[in-house]
Amino acid sequence: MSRRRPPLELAAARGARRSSFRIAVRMARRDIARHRGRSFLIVLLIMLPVAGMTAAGTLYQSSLRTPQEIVRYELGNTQARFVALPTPNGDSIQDPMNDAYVVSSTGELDGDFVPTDPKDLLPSGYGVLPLRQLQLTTSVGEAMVPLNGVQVDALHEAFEGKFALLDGRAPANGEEVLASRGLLERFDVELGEQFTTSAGTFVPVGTIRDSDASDNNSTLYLQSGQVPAGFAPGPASAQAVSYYVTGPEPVTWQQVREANSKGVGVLSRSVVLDPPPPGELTLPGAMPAGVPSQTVATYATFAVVGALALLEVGLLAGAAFAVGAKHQVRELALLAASGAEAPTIRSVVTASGLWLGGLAVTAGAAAGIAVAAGVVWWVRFIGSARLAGVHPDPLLTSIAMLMGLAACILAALAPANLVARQALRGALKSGRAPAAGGRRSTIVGAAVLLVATGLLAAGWALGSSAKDPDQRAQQAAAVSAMLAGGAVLAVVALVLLTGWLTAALTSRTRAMPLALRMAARDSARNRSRTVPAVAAVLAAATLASAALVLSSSQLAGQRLSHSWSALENQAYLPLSLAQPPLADGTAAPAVTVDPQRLSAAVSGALDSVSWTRTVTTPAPVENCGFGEGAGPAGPVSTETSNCLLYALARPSGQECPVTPQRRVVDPDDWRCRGSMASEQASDRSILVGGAEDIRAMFGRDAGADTIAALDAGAMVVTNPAFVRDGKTELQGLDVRTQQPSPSDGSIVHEAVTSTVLEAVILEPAVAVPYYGIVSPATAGRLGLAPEAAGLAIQLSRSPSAAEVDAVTGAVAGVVGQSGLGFWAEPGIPKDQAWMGWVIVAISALITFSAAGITTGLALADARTDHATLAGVGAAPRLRKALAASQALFTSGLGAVLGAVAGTVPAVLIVASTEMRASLEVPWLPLAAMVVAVPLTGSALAWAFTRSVLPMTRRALGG
Amino acid sequence: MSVRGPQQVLELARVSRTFGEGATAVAALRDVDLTIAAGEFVAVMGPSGSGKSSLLALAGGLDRPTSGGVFVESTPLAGLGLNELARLRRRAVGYVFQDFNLVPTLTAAENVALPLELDGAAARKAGRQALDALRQVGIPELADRFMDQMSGGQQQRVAIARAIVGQRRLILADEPTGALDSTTGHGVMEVLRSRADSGSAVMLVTHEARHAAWADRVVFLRDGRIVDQAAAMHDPTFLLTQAGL
Repeated sequence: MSRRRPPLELAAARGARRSSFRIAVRMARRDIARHRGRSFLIVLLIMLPVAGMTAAGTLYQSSLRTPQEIVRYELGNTQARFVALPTPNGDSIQDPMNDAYVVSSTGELDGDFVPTDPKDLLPSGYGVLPLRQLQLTTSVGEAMVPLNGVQVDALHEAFEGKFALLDGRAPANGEEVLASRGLLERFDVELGEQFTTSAGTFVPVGTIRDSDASDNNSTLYLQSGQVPAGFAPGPASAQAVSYYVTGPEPVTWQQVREANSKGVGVLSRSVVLDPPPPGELTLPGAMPAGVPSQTVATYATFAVVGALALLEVGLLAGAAFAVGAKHQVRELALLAASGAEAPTIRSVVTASGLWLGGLAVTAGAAAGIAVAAGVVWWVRFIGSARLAGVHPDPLLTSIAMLMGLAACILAALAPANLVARQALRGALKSGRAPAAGGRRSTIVGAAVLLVATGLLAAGWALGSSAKDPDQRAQQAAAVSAMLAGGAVLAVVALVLLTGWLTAALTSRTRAMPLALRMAARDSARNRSRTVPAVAAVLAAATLASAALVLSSSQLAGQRLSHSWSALENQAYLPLSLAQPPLADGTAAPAVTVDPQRLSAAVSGALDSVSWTRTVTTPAPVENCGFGEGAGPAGPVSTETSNCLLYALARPSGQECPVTPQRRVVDPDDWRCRGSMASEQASDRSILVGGAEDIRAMFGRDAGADTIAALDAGAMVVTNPAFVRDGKTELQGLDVRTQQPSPSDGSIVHEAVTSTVLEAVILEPAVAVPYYGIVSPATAGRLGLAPEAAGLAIQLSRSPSAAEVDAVTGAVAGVVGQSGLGFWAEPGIPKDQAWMGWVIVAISALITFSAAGITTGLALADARTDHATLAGVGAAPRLRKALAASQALFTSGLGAVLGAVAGTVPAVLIVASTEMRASLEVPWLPLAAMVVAVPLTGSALAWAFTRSVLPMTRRALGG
Repeated sequence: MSVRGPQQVLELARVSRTFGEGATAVAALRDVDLTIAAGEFVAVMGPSGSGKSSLLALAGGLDRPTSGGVFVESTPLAGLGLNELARLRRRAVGYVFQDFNLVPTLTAAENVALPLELDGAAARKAGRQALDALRQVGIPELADRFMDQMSGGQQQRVAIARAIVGQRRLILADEPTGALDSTTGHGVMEVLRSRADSGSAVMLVTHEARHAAWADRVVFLRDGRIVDQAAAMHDPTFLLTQAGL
């Protein structure tokens, strides 16, 4: 049959694009509805990192006060606050937002400048509400302990927003007062009970919150008439009294400047809400307040962590979308076979990405803000002033949302690209398109890696080139930017190279066990599924390892720079208390304390005492400068006085190198570290004792050789900087004298005695302030007049404020006088020690998620292969082994690459900035992340995979 | 050497298709010449791995030959871009897959209307044509069902309806009765025969001689080459025997 046929027309039809997009949206919407579980998983995986990022950004912004909060929390309804401004001259400009901070000053000390009393500068026509800080004390047992007092009409309506009555009522008479919650808890006082202080006896009738301070502070709020006339509030500073003014007229910036010129700072409501332009904050010719280098380094650290976290959001979203990729490859191939053009295919996945991604990032941002709001609410509820209010960070939130959405769409486009590359037949048959060669991404990845390496090397070289700390601080911003950029690019490069690495690593698998071999080859053949998962683990491991190194180094830095008064949780109480001079000017005899009674009192007051030990030292400085012939010309020691302080001399050339401005050139230098590296000598810098004392005071066990040397007359020295050729020089310093040090110009005491001793070095557990220890026999031989000087008390934990009050009272009962404070060395902050493990745990969660996704997909893909395996007699357990191997490969490869990508830049950042002295790589958490986490993920995959091989070759798809 | 004429709907000229490279290269088709005229029903037979499905994929523009030329209505597919190939598939070529290949997120009617809608037809108009096509294959009542609500036979009828909807000049069917019972398979063959009789060129890949018997011509493939072709008889099995297949 022959019929006339119209010619074949292949031009684009009108309206095709619109109707194609309609189909795309319909398909995407139905696909989500038909696979709710999978869609929920994808939404959840994208949502969580976006929520985390949004919450972090919101919490950070919430820690910064808005102008409205500054006004509400600090001024209430008043117009302004006038307070003394710490300034050396009249040419200074304060921060408009902070009346205690000078932003611009010539810095020259004007000897003729006399600051005006703020009271004299109050503008006329305003009401005035003074607020005066008081230093009060109260007795706990026999001890007097300090507490804060504030003399203010706190419930005046003008202070609404600043002060708030939490419980109870307003004071009704001269005896009734308000108090903070912290005060009532600390001193175990109920509302309505009497409370005696150095300013009188009062009855707290209400608890009050200062929006500008924590509820935990111990503060008593008095009114003006309640402070007795002539009450000495203590050594008040110029800032102790501030004046709040009320009135209809705002206090202008011009008035603030005038007040500044007279040494008065003003926090003005109108100025805070409408600050002057930046040009008005700098004096002509004056240097503006610079940004400290420490701040720059902190920002750089945040920049690296933030950039990597954002990258992580994108990569996790990409991995999440891989969940649907296999399914989508086949569906897109069907669409293409039905005549869909490439733009239509892309619009289907774009629609899917937009539906799911849009929902996920919106939910993530909302959840992040909600979580942050909850945290802020809770923090304010419990009375902390640390977070001012809920301040979402629009920029960071938008970036996180865009990253998530872009990643969704990019990840969703991957199957579309496979189909568009004419992999139609394979896609139609199995839902799997052949693995892409990935040559382009490998080349781009290699190029990016080169650039990243160059940036990291250049940043490190620039940071290391400057020896002068001043120059280093100036370069910190540029160095940090280079290293941060290099770190982020390195991760991008490794992500791009992951496909090539996977193929390269799996090309030699013949020797592997069957399960591992099959898993490795499956990963290589299905790179569109493997790469997002490995990349997500990689990014998580990068972020975690960088955070581990940076936080660990910061902690080490704090440890290095921490000034240890003793071992952690160790307190020291003197056994001899100097007394005020007698009326005739002669020295009063010191009060001595029985160590047994003191120990019993402390142990009775605290249940955390591990042990107490009497500490023996050379005779302490006592009654120096009193009595006849007490001047510099007199004897350095008499029967009733001692002006001799013992210290070790630094051998020539072993001083800590400093710049002309006396900045330490290299804090990592061995001469600048360790015990007594920067401390001044004290009465207990030299200890007298034996092995037990070394263990108790140094926190280390001395070896037999050390004890033998000690017994033979040598000194056990804590720092090698004081030892040369096995000898150390013990000097007796006359504390009445002062002279410049020949080495660095600092003021030191004159050495009047010198003894060279044999020395053995035993560095203590931490840099405790002891030069070393000599045996009692040696001390006697050297004439050090050893005596029981104090009681060391080792606690098992840090005491609470109430416990400190209790033990202070108990000690005062033994000593017979108040004012002897009990202070246990708290050590470095502990928070960050467990932070490392939290970081590892978060990284592990991400790793398990990504490995779980890819393992699940691999199992689904391999159903027919498993049926084949079952057919040839494979044990059902093989399926478990395959899942475990898949998880191990994905998480192991990602973790190793990520650990390298995170650790190297972080080490370089620490090594190139002022943090370098404290470089510490936390090997244990890193090892856990690289080894334990993948193995655990593998074990979980084993545990959660059913031990059943399918017996039928059911067609895939659908 | 075939002659390209106005009646020829499909022409494959010295077409070869090789998968893989080097030592692992496999030649699926070698120098195949084949033409199908309008109104002609051609069955392709051959053992597994002989290249039948590859031949069909090249004819439908789902794959590209390693060498040689594929022409549909005298238009060389090699000169078409990806988008033009897509338009060719939705306007001129109907493809019936062995395992149905319906889009699971679309109803039966939407699956059938898919090529029309992709080509810009209004949804209502495309829907009407889809219903007509479904009526031709005898299942208009299943228009609103999704594929997981239909049997295999019903799904295959929907796939055939999708292949014949609109003005299709070439219908390619890859063992469309492979998953069907004999009665349903017979119905499918009737539809394909009917399309050929109304002027479309039909190429059917099949293993079964009783289905090949519906064709005007049977082409036999072995090792990627056409080893014989003949007019179909009521029982073409003797040809298989003659060709040594």
